[in-house]
Amino acid sequence: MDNQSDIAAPGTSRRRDTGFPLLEVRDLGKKYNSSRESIVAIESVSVNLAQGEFLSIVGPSGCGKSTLLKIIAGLSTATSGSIRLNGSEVVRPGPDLGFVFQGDALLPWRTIRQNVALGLEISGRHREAARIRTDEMLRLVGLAEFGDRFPVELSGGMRQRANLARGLALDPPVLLMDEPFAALDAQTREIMQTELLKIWRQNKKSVIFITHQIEEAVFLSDRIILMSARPGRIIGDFIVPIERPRSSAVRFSNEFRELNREIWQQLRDEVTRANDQSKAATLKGSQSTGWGLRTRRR
Amino acid sequence: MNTLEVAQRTTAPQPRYRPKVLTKLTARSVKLMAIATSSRVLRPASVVIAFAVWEAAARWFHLGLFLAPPSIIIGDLWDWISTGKIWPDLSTSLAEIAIAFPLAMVLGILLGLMMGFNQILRDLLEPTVTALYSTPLLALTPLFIVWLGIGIESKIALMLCVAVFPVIINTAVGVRQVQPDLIAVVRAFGGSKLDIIRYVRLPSAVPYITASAQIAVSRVIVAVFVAELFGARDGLGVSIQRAASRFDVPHMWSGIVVLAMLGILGVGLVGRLERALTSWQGEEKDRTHG
Repeated sequence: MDNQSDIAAPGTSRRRDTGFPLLEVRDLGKKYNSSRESIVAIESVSVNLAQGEFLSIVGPSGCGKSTLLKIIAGLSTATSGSIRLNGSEVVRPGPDLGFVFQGDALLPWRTIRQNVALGLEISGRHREAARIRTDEMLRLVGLAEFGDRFPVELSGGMRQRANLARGLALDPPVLLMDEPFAALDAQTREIMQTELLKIWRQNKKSVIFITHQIEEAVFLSDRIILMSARPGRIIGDFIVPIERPRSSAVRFSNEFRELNREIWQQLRDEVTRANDQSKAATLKGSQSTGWGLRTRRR
Repeated sequence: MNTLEVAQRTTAPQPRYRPKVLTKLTARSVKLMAIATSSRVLRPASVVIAFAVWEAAARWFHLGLFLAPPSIIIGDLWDWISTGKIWPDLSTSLAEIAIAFPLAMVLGILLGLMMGFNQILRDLLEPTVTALYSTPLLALTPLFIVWLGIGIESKIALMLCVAVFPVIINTAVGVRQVQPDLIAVVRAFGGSKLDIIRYVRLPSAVPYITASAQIAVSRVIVAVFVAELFGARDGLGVSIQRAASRFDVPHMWSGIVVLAMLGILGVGLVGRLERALTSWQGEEKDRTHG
């Protein structure tokens, strides 16, 4: 299992040559135990991320892909398995793993500049160095003129840029992105995808990108991993053979559509299964008061 | 006559037969009506009308013993202020407010933070604090006078009791009602528990605390009046009481007006502070206070 990526990609990717993987996820499992039942969120997931690779994880909603990412980041703990970064175990969050949150998760009382600088501040960087780095990041994502604005004053796309800049500020070798563009409208989303590829090319990061949109994954990635409905397992591993650098025009090419179709065929059954699961959960929940409280709070 | 003709006759107005002058006049009066019924005119007018009715009623029915006309109140108020006789009363009340309100805020925030952060303290304090928050503590005024005398101490103690509980509760809620995502952000950067408090919990409690300051300041002003009424040497409440015992209705009103002004001033100042501290919430939140 540990050289799974080599089997899947015999020399097709230019990023596969560096030998051992940068990030190694092995046999990861996560179980939630409640008083009534125990739910297996993910089950023996193994993923290798090579240096500089852009890897997407696609799966139906509720399949545990966000949970997987949170565990990799050290924000949540696994019930079994291990995560190694550069050969050493990840047990808590740290500056080597940048996290770009779903939604934007900007602190509303901080200006964009202060938000981008948050990681630098927490990790105790020297003030002047932090200022220079923050300026650099703001320029990178095209927000140089908006540094003194508060998040509420910015559009969704701009807030997401700030979110990205914040994740990049500490210059982590690995960037973990949790459906960062899910809340954006279709046009803004496409622009942000192109923008992200540009930034990724400049910064040579390794990326794990979570999404439920196949097109997004195909456009962005070197490799795509498919996850099943709960319990989340890996059910497919695709190399994206499309040349880089990619422009939006790639979306109209035959190979793009072909890969899309192929992935969707594999995923369709899982999506149906996931929908049935969530329907069953809602039905069951509507009878118990506990769930009623939770929905009201939302 | 076919149906189309009927329809035209009933629906279309017939401007042809209307004299030109009349149309012009109507247009102008419509415009005037629109201005006269706009909020910008009606709201100030409401105050003016209220005062006019008040003045008229007081003079017309010779209600001197119950209701002084505004013109006389203003005269009395001017006398009171210009001769400086207001000073002992005003300064005493102001001093009481200036001590009790900040004290209530500081104490309330400290206790609220302790309650918000520590589960043991929360379980120990919350039921009592909630009970006391909903109790009309002004009922304790006579007791406070008995305990602490008619000096400034009994007033401050009462005002503190009345104002501190909303601050405690709001602060405790504020540091706990935090978007979980924001905590994850700090944790993702390797932040400690203290970092979470510093970067997320404290700032997100600020709007809750400033909202409680609004409640506290208005409670403090009610309490200062009630406490002085029950027994004090100086103070606006006492001056109203003294005037009442002399049947000096205009002077009672002067005291009431000054107290009302203090209330408006206090709430206004706290509101301004609130807006300054929560400007990051954007324009829309601001307007709700305006």
